[in-house]
Amino acid sequence: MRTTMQAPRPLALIIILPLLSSCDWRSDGAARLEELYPVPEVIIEDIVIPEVDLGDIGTAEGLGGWWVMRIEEHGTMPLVGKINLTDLFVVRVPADGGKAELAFCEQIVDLPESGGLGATQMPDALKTALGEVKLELSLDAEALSLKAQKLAWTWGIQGMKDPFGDPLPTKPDDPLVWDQDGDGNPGVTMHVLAPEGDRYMVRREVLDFAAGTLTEDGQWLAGKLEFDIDEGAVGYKGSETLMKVVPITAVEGGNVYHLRRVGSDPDAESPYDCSKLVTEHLGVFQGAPEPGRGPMR
Amino acid sequence: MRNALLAVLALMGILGKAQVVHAQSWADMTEFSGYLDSDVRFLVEDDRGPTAGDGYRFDMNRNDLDLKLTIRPFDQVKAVVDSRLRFYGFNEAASLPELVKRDPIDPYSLYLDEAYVGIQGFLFEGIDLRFGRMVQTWGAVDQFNPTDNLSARDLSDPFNYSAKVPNQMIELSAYPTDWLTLTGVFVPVFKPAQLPPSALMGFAVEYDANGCFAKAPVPPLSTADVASLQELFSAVSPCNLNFVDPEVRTLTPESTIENSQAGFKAAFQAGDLDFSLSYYYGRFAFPVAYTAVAHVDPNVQTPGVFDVKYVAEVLYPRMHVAGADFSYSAPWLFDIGFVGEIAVYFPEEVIFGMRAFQQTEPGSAEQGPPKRALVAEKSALNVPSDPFIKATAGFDYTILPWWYVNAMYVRGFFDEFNDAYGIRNYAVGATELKFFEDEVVLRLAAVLAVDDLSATLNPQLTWIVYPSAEIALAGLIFLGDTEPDDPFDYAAKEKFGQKAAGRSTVALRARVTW
Repeated sequence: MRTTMQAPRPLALIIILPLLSSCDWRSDGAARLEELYPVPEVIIEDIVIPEVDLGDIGTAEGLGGWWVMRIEEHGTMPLVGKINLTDLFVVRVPADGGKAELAFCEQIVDLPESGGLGATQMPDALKTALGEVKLELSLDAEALSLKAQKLAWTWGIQGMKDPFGDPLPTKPDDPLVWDQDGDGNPGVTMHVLAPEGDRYMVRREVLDFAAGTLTEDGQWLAGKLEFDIDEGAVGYKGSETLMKVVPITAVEGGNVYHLRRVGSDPDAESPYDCSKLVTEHLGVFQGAPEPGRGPMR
Repeated sequence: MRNALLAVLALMGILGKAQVVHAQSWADMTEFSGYLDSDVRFLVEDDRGPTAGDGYRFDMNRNDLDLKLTIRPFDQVKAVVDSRLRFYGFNEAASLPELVKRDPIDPYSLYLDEAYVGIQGFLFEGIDLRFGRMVQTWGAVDQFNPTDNLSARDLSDPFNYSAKVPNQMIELSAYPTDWLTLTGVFVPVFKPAQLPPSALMGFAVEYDANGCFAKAPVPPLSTADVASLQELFSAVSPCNLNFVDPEVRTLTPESTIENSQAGFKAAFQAGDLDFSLSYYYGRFAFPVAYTAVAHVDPNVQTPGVFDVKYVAEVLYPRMHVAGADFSYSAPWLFDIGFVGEIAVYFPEEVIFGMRAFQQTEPGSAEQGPPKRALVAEKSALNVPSDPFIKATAGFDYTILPWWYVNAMYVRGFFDEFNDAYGIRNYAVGATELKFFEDEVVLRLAAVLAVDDLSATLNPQLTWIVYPSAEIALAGLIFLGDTEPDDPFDYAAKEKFGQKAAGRSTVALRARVTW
């Protein structure tokens, strides 16, 4: 018995030893990188929020009146990293409460990781031109809510049959391209800071609003949204790099809209113009309810 | 280096004097051999270099002087010293101060290929000891030996892929019977393989004709992850990306006992059959990708331009290898020689990790180092811990006294380790034709990568001018696409097509051996 066991032992050891001892061998490159290059902590600096006094805005039962709106979108761009977009609008809701007319005021672009790359500056002519084209959202006057709906918001484009799905024009002489800001260049002109120059561009943003309900106090309408941004360059001034448009990919979470009532009489002058809204928006939207939570009507 | 060279030359000189003084005794005790080899090589293409158009130039202008001395002061004792003096033949002086020195104008290296003592009948009759600097070659097949892991390959000369990197080791051999040889080898300190010059192309950043960034090395990640990494740079014009040459760091194992290598072999002989079982513990001698980090920083001088620094790490994974090999000459079948070799590798698992950071704030004396944000983080299993097999099987046959053929199937090339590139299959063939009473020898050898159909050809025409003196004209030709079909797929590179495989070269060589 002993003899028969001895003969295969060296061979068995050759096979079994490796199986036993190599099981826990592991070099984890991801763990090593965490050790060598830990991800830096993000330091959020204190932000000064202006004091805002909206005064007496009345006790309107319906939705009619003046509102201001903030749309927050979060995404990522290659190399640039995170991008946070904040669009501000002054909104008029007629007395019947059936629709909201949005006048664009400002787009705030925050690129916390880009080191300056991709930073833009929206010329006043473009803001004005965008503000002149009112956007319209449907409201439910009886349910006192913003209906779930999609909105295609285009820049520098006109005459699209299907603004939600038609491909963006790519050539400056495409009849769909509209010199919306009237500066003599195709599309709209966006000033890019790094690399510096002007990009003549077209843009479409499809906003998919979830329904939003009025809060109990009648001051807020809030809801979630999804978005899809499609941009293209049709010309440039400066570096040829400006023709390269970097796609924005939406990230989930935090994409919301808020409407805050600022006046009850839609036929009176708006208590907020764009200048005031841009200055006070942090204060105006302070304490905005989280969509889906809080005291809704 | 210069001191070492002087020492060797002085040693030779002393020995020469000693031979005069003790001519008879030294003649009995010593064997002196070696060769002088002069080698001129020319690149015969210009599309496999770091930049397009680099080629059709001399690539080597080398002289080797090999001196091997075996001393037997006693019947059971020998000392072997094999040294090689190599002159490269290309001026490396790049500045005026260097022009006053000989070394940069005529650079050279000193190699010590062997330096060991051998003792027969060590402790017991039938046990031999070899101790010192040497190389080991295990296995039965020609060149492609999966069980041969104790000595790392020296691939610095693409025409000589059987060369090894010598290392300090202790070898004990026992001969308990005339049909059994037991060998144990201990290698205290690991040494990696020496890579061919073309290996740098595997990590090279490529530029287009305008000097703008064209391509970065592809990491061993999924194609989707590689595509997303490439997209990182789509925001910037390639001409505005200033890729600093990648820095590849090798993680050399510490000189601890756990990192030593050991091998055991039992070789059996039964008539026309030679058979052996072997086991190896140590590390794979070719580097495997481990980590990579890209730092993307705005250029301080030029707005809109970004400096990209790529730092990668490679390591040598641990492994156990259990192997078997045989060679058999079949007298009943025209004396065809059959060979086979198989090895089961039990590898260390290697996970590849990659991160990319974007500078968000420049550093300064007041604020400290620059602040960077993580913009990409990827990882993938590069080497699974599952055992894998490398194997070779083939035959050789002398059809006529002047015509020899050899053919093999190879699974797993020297440098393959079942990482993201995988273990691949090869067909290897060689034929040798001798003419004019063996004065002229034409050898044609080829390796075909079966999986991607790339190939390398190695024809050689040798004229034996006189016994011991030969002149050879040889070629090493690489066939295949330099660019993979899928630029995002780490495994899509053709084995011999990719630039890292080497340059197509023609060599003219003269050699005298003694």
